[in-house]
Amino acid sequence: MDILQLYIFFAGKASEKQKLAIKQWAESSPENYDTLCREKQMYDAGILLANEDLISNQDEKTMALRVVNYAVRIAAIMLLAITSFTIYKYQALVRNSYLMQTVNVPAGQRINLILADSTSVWLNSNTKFSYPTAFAGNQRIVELDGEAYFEVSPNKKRPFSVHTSKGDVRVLGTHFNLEAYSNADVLKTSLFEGKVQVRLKGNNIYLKPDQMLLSYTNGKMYLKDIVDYDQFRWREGLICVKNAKFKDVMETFTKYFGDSIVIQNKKLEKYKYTGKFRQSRGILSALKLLQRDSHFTIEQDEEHQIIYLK
Amino acid sequence: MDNLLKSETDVFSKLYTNYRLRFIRFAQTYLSDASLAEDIVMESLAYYWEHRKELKSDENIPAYLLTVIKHKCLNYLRQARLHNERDSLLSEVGLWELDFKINTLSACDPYELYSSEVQDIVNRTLKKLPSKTRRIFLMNRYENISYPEIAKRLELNQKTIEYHISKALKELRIALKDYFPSLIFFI
Repeated sequence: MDILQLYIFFAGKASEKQKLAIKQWAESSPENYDTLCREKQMYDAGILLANEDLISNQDEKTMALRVVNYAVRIAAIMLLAITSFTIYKYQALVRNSYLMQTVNVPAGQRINLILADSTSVWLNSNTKFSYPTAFAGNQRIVELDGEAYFEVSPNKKRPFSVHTSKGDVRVLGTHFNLEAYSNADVLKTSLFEGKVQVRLKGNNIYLKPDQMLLSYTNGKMYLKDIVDYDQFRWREGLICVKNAKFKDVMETFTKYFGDSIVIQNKKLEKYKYTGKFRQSRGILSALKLLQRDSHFTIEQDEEHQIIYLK
Repeated sequence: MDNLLKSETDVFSKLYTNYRLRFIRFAQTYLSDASLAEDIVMESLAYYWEHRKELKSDENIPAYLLTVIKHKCLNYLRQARLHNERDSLLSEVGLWELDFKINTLSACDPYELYSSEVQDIVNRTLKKLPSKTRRIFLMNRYENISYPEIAKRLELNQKTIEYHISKALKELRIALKDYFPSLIFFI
């Protein structure tokens, strides 16, 4: 049993479910119960023994002067203790919820999160990700709407699952990339290391390393070998396209930058593109690079976030 | 103000300033209700003030005060247990938790805790920690600020906060291991 889980329980912030888990663990052997009691003693010692003058000056300022309003007996004591008032900052017990936290990654950005179990998650542009701040129970569940790369910390007893609007991916200690934008029509699961099970509408598909599963909302599924690893370099801030039709490149740009792109110049559809763009330079810079090889003009409707290519 | 009263007032002021919040925090972990915890601590302070002249001159006052608080909390918890036997309001887990609280609170020894050795050990251990670790530990344990809130205020990753808390706990456990031998509990 994780010490931090116990401390959540001691602080009175555990859910019924979490308490039940601790009860079951404690009752499974007398050593466990003994450990639980000892940890509580240590926890109490930590509260009771921390000496006030160890707190930094900044914190002392928040515990400034104030009059305590209490019953008559205390009022009498207060008159006598006139040399020392303390401002009482009445802190309501902040209900610390270890429920789901949600992160929204804006367009053009990406972040790396480390979860409570040491799983590392890279989130791409325009991605919404929900995760619990502490994993309790025998499953680790997170929610994704967007694109993420996971390095899941192995734990055979607690499988890790990612829920998306298009299906769930269940893993045990692996490195994989998941693209599951709710407004797109495809779920792309790409496995680099380890094992995953993709569960969609009653089908279970198992992936081996270097395989990628594309599942479309129309029901079609394709299991392929990953040939182009550059498409996953978004973690480095790079947008890579290889032999892609102009339309697809624009779709990729919309995915990473958020702007809608309207291709009004039909000549552009003829060409295929291969190249790398730095996400941090922005969409205009990326489009300007393309302008070097193809002729088109850029018109921006900043208010509605639409770009017209003529 | 005459000299005796002044020195008694100073003692009380110091007690109030240094211990009140940690006692409230301690009582909260057993009682859950924050305002009840505060009331009990205030009542205990008042009780000490009223009975201060009856104490021996070398009395360990924080230990004494904590003993009063401990008994008031235990009474409350035992009452709750009796009520439950009559009315059965608690779930199985809730009842187990109540018994756990009664057991561990009973085993709490204020005089052991506030013996000068233990106090010194804890202070020394905390002082030896890097200031960031110490700050984070005190914010959580002492000021009752949640991990996500600490992370927000210090602009750190929550995993970092957990790391610092674990680190402080580890040091304290090592330093205090002789003071918490395996305890026998009446289950």
